[in-house]
Amino acid sequence: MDQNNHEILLEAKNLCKYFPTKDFFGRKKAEVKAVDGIHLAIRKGETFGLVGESGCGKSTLGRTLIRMYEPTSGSIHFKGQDITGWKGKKLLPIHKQMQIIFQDPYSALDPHLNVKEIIKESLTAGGNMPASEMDGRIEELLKRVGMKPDDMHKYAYEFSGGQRQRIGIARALSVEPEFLLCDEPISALDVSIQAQVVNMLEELQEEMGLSYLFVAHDLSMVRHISTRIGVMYLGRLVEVADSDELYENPLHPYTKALLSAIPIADPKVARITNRVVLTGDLPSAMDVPSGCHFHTRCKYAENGCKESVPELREISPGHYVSCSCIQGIMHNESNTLEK
Amino acid sequence: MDSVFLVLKHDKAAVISLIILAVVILLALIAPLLPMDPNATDVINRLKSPSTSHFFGTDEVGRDYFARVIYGGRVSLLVGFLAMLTSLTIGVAVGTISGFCGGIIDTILMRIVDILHSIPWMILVTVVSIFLKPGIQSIILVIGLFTWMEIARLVRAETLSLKEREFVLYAKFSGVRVFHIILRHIIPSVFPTIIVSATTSMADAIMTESSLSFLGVGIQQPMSSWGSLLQDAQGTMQNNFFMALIPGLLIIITIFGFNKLGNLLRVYVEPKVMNDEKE
Repeated sequence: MDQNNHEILLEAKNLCKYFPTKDFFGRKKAEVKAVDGIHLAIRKGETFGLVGESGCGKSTLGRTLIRMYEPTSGSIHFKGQDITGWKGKKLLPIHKQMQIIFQDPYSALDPHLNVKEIIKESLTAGGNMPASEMDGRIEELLKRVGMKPDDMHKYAYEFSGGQRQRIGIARALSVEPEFLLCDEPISALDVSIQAQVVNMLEELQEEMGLSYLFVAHDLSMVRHISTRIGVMYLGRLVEVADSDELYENPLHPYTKALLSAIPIADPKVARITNRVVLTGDLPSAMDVPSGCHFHTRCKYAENGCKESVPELREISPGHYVSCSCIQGIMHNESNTLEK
Repeated sequence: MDSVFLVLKHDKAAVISLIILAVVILLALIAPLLPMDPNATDVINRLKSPSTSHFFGTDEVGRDYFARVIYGGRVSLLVGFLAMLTSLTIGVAVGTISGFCGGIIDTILMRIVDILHSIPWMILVTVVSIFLKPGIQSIILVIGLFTWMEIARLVRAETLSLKEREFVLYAKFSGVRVFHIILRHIIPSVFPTIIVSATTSMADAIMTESSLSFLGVGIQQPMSSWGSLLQDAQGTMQNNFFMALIPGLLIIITIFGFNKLGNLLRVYVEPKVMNDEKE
């Protein structure tokens, strides 16, 4: 069982995704480095949470991993196979095993099709299913996500946001995937609905043995659902750790600032908590700082941070941080604590 | 639907032109059932003024002018409709393929559009129609083949934004073929635009056909269209000016009616689409 837990399902090595920007004459002007050299491994059955500011490349990383976007460089391994160079028809079986749930349930479903047609499309694409089995299968899927079989003939706009998200999940599950990219699946929903959807995702994970990459910016929800969490800043992973470890013992200065931004419900506790406030603005993704991307806003930054790119290093078992000054910072902190 | 009535309430010209348009289309449709022959000559009664037996009088060979106007309208509307269908088909196909595929295909198709657009179409159409055998088919073809560029541009622009929408991304991701994505996702979504441009395109086609027939490169005798009736009326302008007035007015009202219809369809179709997405 333990052995099984550590089997790696999806792995990225030095993955990059750059978007070229073009000038008036169509020449390449600059590149937006949305994903810039990421090493990541997602284990079978786990939920890997991915957090970070908007525009830091979380969704791009997810979509590149499932080969929705073409990676610029680096490699992606799925179940031990290198799928980086795969194209067209060869990718179809891979896409059936890696599915996606979108952030915006309004633009994820075609307003001109009814639920049956929406699910049918992903069921039939690339493969065949006899029409007689189709209805039963769709009914079963709808039941699984907590909807009525009659809903099959309704159009997407007749449903609320939460119900649409359920349809999106049913569509993703229709091909029996092993890996599900949840691309901010709950950020467009009401708080009460968020909990329902998250609970449902957890139940489905248990039933079907799914692995999730859960992209989000709601930090408390990510902690709740994730086994491990990665923190992204401007296209790079700055810290990866087990969920509780990361929240209780954040090491990277950016993670600290990010986590201290979680609102605390109790005002008494909130008053005595030190909020780490970052100075400066998020640099533009088209013109990222040299060396460690975070050095422009980091209070521990040294001269070396401007030049060398820090690697993701294991500080304690399972806890990876990419910061060249991490030893100094940790030392400093234990001193302040003693005082 | 309410918004449509609201527009109609404030736009009397639209109501009147739509009613006339409806009557014209209806008459054109039932023309063969009417007890009159547009080609029967009656040399004794030539160039008569309007009377109860000949509502619009007779022309210079004594043919009933009312019948000729109705049959002319039949031809004008048929040419307009089929030319619209032709240009719509080409325009939608080029627009969606160009927008969806992008890259080199997009560049080639759009440069073709630019080139066709930069040639004064009247010259183009006139030159081409000299080479084709004169007749109703070649008129339809010529108009259809040289008026699709605007539609292609409109459809392409919408396709460009649609293909980034997540339901299209997902269809692409799950391996639905490009042809099916265009047919199932893109075209239904650009349908409002297609419908609206269909009405304008129809009006333009009727206008073009009339101009061509007026210049003598369009519909040939004994068949008549509103444009060729206008041309025939030139010779007798001084005595029977209404012979020019009637087809001229009908052309104006029909084109105006189709443009108004396009406006109404836009009002009818767009709020619904917005509701679908924002609800």
